[in-house]
Amino acid sequence: MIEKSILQEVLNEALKTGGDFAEIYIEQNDLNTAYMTDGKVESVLSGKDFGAGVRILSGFKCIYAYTNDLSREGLLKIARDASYALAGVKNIESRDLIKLDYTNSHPIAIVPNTVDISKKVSKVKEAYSVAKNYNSEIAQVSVRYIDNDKKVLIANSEGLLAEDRRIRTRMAIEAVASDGNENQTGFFGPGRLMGFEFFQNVDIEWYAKEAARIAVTMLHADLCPSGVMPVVIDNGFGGVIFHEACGHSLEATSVAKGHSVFSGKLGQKIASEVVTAVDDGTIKNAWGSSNIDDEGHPTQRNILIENGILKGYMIDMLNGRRMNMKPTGNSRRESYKYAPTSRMTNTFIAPGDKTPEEIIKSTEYGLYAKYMGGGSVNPVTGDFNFAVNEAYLIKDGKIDRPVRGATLIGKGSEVLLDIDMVGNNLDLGQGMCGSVSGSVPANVGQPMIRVKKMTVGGRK
Amino acid sequence: MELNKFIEELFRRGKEEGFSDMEVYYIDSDSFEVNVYNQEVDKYNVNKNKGISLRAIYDGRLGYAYSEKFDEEDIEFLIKNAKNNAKETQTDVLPEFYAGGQYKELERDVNVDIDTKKKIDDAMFMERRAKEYDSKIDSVNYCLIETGKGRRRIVNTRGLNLEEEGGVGVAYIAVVAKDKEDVKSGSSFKVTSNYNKIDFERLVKEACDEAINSLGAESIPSGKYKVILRRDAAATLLATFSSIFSADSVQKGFSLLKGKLDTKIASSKITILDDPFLKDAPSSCSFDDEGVETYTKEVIKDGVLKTFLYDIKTAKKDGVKSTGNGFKSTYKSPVVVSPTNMYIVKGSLGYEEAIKMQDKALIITSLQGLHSGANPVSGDFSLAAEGYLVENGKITKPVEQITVAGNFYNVLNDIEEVLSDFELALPSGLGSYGSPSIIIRELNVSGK
Repeated sequence: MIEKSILQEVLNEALKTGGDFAEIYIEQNDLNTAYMTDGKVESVLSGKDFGAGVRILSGFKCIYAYTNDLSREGLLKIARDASYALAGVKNIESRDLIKLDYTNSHPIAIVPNTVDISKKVSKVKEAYSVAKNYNSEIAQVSVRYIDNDKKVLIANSEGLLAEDRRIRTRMAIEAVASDGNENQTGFFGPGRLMGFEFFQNVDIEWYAKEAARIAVTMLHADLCPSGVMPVVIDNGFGGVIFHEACGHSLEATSVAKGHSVFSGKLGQKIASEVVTAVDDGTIKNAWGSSNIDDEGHPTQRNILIENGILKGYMIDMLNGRRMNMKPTGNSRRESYKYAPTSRMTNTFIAPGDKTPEEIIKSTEYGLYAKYMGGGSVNPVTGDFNFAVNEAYLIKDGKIDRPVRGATLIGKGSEVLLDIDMVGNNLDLGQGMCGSVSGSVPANVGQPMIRVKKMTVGGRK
Repeated sequence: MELNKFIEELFRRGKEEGFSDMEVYYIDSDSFEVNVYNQEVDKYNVNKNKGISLRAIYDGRLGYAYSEKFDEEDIEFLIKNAKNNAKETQTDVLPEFYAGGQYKELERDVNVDIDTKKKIDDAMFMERRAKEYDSKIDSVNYCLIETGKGRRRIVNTRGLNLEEEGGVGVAYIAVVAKDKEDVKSGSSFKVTSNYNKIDFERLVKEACDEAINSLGAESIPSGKYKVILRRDAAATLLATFSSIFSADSVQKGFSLLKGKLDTKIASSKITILDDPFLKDAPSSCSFDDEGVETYTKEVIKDGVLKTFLYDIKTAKKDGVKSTGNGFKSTYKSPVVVSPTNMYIVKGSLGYEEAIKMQDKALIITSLQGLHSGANPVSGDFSLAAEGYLVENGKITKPVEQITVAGNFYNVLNDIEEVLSDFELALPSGLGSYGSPSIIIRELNVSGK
């Protein structure tokens, strides 16, 4: 995208006030979205993001500047603007840039920009009509399509030069069921690191039906009871519990400064022995994967927890300096507008040996959370919360009537110890994860698990 | 390419391509952020951002495209995509651009051109004071100052040519308090277009007090509680459910307020304004992102629903005039209906006084999980919360690990008292939201 000699010049400019590391990140992102609701394709939008960010490190200090002006002068200017934050003199020169060679692990069959927008819109219309025609109680549907083709280039003063191209496609379907007085919603948002072949790999019709089915089921559900009880959380997006309750607290962003409940606990038991958890940025064509992370390190499969013992953190370069540990290929950012930091990629609890039937059968009374909504966590205290989109009561080892409006709360350090059963049906679910370096695509995942006690917040 | 020339050329090429009307929206902004940690600069950001978006009418339909590049080829990119995209959209009202109106000048002191050294010193000051505040303050996990300036320009082929500058200053501090194994966090912030109005000492005190006062917090038994929803928590709840006042939500059945205009939907103590002229608020503006003049309006007056918020399209559908509430979250996004500064008008009873009057009540100081545990379509919410228990007119203990559940439409009717401690909260989404503390007759609490 930019000549090597200019990159080298920019890095040297950035280092001239005493920085010990400089990096330039260049991004071009082509984006297409289409949104349909109320029976009409309401907006179709295309765009081109184009920008660069320069990062300078000096010890633990991080300086970042970005611009949309990618001319030589524009890049040198931000390098200079950033360097003004330091008052020293130059003590290192940028090394010669050598291009990182790797094999693309995520082949793309159909690049989105080669597909007519009308074909994309017809996929939106199909999903819309499947959900809308589910039954007469579906009052409203909205479908959002998004594809983006992001090319990144990363060069740093240690001589690294790496490029990656990440093509993602996603469809988000929301259905609203109404009886005139009450409204309930159902949602599904499948996504992949794929181009238009996404539609050959993912059964959108099934997801559209599920979104509608959830809305209708919840319309006829009773209010969820409140209290402390065993909770069975189903596979796939249910993994949001691990993502919120534990994943964020294992990111170096919160571990490095000692703010996380898991700081300094490597090698210690932090979860029940049935829990093994992994962050794997290498899964082929998965939503949270990429060949390299946003500081140019190849992504990895990292074991976070093994049989309950804390084995590792997710680490970026800067926090790695504080922790005196190596980066793990987890440094991510939404765009050139953010300095990268440690983030999750595809994070999941590994499968255990129980069948889902066994887990339900051995639960006398409790809540069965079939589909989870989103949640959040305070990484300092580990306090988390998340919503349940579709829930049922469990009575005498059987799934009983549906209940709505349930929220699960707890502390990450406690819930991990309270997981007493792990199923054998691992699946992943897609989400956008927001944190200090912006919003990034991330997979959550797990097989069905049981937490022996959790606070369930309902309206009854 | 120079901006005016770029726009001129874009419009010329667009006419050739058969667009009946075109409108560009341009943003040019500069921002600065500094974070300090252990009395050193930890993070330092300087940014420049500009982008342009085109919306254009082709064959009676609207297409969008945006770019962050301003070369000859980008004109072709914008035109080609806006045209292809327009062909795919469907509409029951013909899109239309605004030719201009009477604009009221904003009264505000935009003052964010602050010397970098002063901003670093202010951040250092906050961190130092927080560490000195109390021996229970274990660390300061975020301490930052941010300033930004932006220019917004809207030009269309119907003769509109508007420009407005804005600025924002933010100070934020988050601290960690520790007492043996017990760890609690507290934070405070100020967002203003006038940097000189930031009281750093006060932010430190608020953040530290919140963390220290939460130490030893416990869950409380499940049940129904009278709730004092503190001003910041009330503002976040209003922000979450503000879409129910959008004409777009009403027209699509995403709001249960359909057909409720001029009827009583809330306690008579409630008046909610949408006020684009609120002083020092960063979301204040004299025109919206479609160039329509903004004005202050009562959305709810003494409990009665007075108006919905409209952009040009939704107004046309209902046969009314846009209320100047058509906004884009960035130049990358389409226009949607959004408030400017939406807030609950304060009452006369003070917060401390109100606490003294309660036999038993729960003060809620923060609500979490609003993006997932609250459903603007049904009004239902079930949210993790923290706060304090009030017994016999006094705060007796901090509370955590509870959820509060209810329905926003019911809450509006169940408000017993609106207090006098109004403040604007952090901007959320497109607009800013504010509220004084409010007393709610009863909410369901799930605890131990």
